[in-house]
Amino acid sequence: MREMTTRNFRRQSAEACRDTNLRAVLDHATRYFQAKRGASLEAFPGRGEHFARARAARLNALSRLPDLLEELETNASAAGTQVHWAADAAQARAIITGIASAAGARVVVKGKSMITEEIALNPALQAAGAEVWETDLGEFIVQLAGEPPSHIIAPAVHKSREDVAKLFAEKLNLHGQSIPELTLLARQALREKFLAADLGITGVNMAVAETGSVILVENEGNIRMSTTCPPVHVAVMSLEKVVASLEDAADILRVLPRSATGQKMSSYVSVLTGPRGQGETDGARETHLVILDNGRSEILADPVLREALACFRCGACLNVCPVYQTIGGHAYGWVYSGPIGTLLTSLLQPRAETRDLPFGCTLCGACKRTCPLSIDHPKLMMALRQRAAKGRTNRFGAAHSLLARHPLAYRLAVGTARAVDPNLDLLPRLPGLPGLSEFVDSRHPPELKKSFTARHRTAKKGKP
Amino acid sequence: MSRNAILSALRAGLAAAPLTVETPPGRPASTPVGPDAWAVLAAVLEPLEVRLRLARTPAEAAQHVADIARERAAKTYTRWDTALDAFGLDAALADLARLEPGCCRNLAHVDLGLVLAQAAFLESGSLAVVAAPGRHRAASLLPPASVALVPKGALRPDVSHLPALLARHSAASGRLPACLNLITGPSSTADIELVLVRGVHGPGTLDVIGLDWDEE
Amino acid sequence: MHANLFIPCLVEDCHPEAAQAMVTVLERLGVAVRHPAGQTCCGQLAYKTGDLKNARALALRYLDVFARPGPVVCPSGSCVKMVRTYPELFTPGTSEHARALDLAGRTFEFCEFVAAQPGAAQLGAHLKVRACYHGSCQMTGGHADDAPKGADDAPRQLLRAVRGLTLLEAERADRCCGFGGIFSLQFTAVSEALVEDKCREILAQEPEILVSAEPSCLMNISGHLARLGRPLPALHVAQVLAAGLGKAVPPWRTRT
Repeated sequence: MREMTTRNFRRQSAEACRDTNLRAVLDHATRYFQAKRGASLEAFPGRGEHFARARAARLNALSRLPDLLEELETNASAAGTQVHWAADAAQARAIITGIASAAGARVVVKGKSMITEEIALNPALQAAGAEVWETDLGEFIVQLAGEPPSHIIAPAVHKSREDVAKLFAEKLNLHGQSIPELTLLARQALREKFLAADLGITGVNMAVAETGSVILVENEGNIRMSTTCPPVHVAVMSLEKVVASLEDAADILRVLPRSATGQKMSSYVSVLTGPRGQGETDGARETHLVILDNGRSEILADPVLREALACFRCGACLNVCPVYQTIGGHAYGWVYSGPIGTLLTSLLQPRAETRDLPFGCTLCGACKRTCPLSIDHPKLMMALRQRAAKGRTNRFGAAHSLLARHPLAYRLAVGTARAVDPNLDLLPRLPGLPGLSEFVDSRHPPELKKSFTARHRTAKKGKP
Repeated sequence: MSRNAILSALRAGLAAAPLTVETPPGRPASTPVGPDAWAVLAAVLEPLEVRLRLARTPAEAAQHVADIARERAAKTYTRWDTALDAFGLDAALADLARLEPGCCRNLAHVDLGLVLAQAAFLESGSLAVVAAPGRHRAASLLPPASVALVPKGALRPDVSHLPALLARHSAASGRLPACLNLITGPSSTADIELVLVRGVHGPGTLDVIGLDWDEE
Repeated sequence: MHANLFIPCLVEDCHPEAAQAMVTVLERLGVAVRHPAGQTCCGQLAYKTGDLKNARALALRYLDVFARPGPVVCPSGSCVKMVRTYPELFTPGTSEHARALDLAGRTFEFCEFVAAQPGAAQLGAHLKVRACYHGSCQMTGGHADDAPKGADDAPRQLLRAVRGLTLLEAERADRCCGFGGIFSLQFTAVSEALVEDKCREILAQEPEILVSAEPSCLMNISGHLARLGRPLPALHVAQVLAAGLGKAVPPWRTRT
């Protein structure tokens, strides 16, 4: 598979449209998640209040971010967790590979973590001589396949059971056909790794400042395994993941699983505070928390765009986005996709790479309408377009605006066009009007008719 | 140093553009635990394929455990110690070999795990288990068959009661226990073709025994 | 009462019948219409390309064009949304900002305006037709399948009140048709995929006409239906109401 990049978003999105298998998979997956979520939310009394409280918990955390991070550090340290700060991806990688080396880690197991993808951690660990195993089934599959995840909740949703069977046979020499068989093979293969692992690395769903705890949410049990069996646990968090209190965390837990997968609660929620207690026989003996900036502090300074930091990664906006429903996650070229992904990628990656992203949106607002935290994606999308427009002008828009500012010239232009090419057979085909030619390939253009003004004037003349 | 640079940057950003947060509405009242609590729990566990059996005495509970062990064709088990000593479980499971916890490798192939829940949230069917000496995490994680005993007094409305639960199990210093697991059904995934499969990395089956008597 | 007609650029020159029908319906409701001169474009296109400078310039023009007090009625939800965005383009405290707030507060989309008029329920339109409805995302905020179903929006209310009209809904009636203005020029493949989906869902209802309250959606969808060789009359809600009020057989009813 050719490597996808954010810069090539436009081309990648067009290619995705032509992939009929992908289109079918995405249609099925997005409808599946929407149906489950919809049923769950309809049966959720007080939904509006719960959503509002979750939003307040997130925004409150952002409004007090530096103080909460200090409180988190104090309380986590008091519980025995070693807290590290990383300004950027390179620093984070260095810290984590340092911990791995100090622990003599040869086998590393990982829970699904967008932040570790963001910082490209796996290659760094591998370069340092460790075997790294993704343990979430979907992530395990895409890791074996050498591909990036295609959906925030179901990373391997683009792969059929036949694809997976082939993959397991080729890469693991394990043979199975049915989905339960394949799942059992993965369980057996990965259990070996959990038991042999020297180090478990996870992300964090929330970090609670009040207690110094990390909260991890999952369905499979691989995160519990990664934090129970290996002697060392490293939790990696981007700094906006902190919440003030256990109450806030509980308010978020009330909403997050329903919004993500339509479950009242995910199968496992782990609240971890420090290494194993004295006299306990399992759990990590050594726990680390890596707090990563990687561009968030800059975003926090922007009064409009900072709302993107409130996101708690439920993925609901992806499933209702008509663009995501059509092109899937890979086309975005990075770890974050869909509406929130467009926003985050635009804010975290260099501007030159992300100029097209905010324009790959119809501004339909389905994302905003569905977001339990009421993040106003379209408003943020517009702010990003304004930022992009400072560097370049859209010539079509500028020409249209020039005419629109001068009504006589505007009417003259329209009148001429109507006289010369009323069916718009020729004008859209003129060079220098990018996209118009493709547009009329698939849409019969509208006719330039006698204007409303002229008709209305005639009609009024006819009246007493 | 990164820490100070990061904190300064955050403070500067917020100083330039303060973020005010609207006061949210109050939390909707929890549905209180009523006389039909076991029925409520059974109903919410059912779609998760978790069966609730009620016991009126410790002996009945032990009998249920023996029944489950037979159903699951278990040959070996692990259990929490003092918490479950009073149930006569070892006698009820005399045909099975009990494995002591230790590192996870010791329990890699154990068939059945038994724990006592510190709380059960009726809204979601979630069981809270708090790790401590003699209360190993692996007991509810490694074996493919998991059994949780839930005292009547442990029933709570919903996850909004989690903070109080953690406070109750915290040290005098206020430090939280090292691990609380909130368990809702068996381990599951739909990562392959969105087809639900139970028992990926955690237990594939979960059975709940409700201890239907009042504690002193 | 008087209403000022706000005619979107697309309607002025490509779909004038929608505006004519809007006039018919308003007058039937006892609303006299004025048509302020000098209308070109509300600035939506400039705004959506991120060009605040031109958006502001065009907004200022429209503050003058619609300076005369009274409600402003428009057959396009997206253009009304643009006018409601005007206050964001000006600094609070300035006179432009105050005028923008004023204009935003009295600008209405046609269906929402009509539905709020006394007498709307007694319009008495009759039209026997199978009409498939497409809901513009600009007024409702997109089709979130899992969003709880609310009351009928204004266009649906008006259409349901037309006797003899069978209101059909495309499977995902409020899902974006894929136009999105410049989106359709920059992301042509995705835009086409979306309008394909929309057309398939509409055709599955076997309608006689397509109806919507959004002219750009009508242009987008009907344009693709024509390319598919499955053309349908594409009517604004105003046209359906006006046809239902008149005796004459509307031109789109007679097939050539």
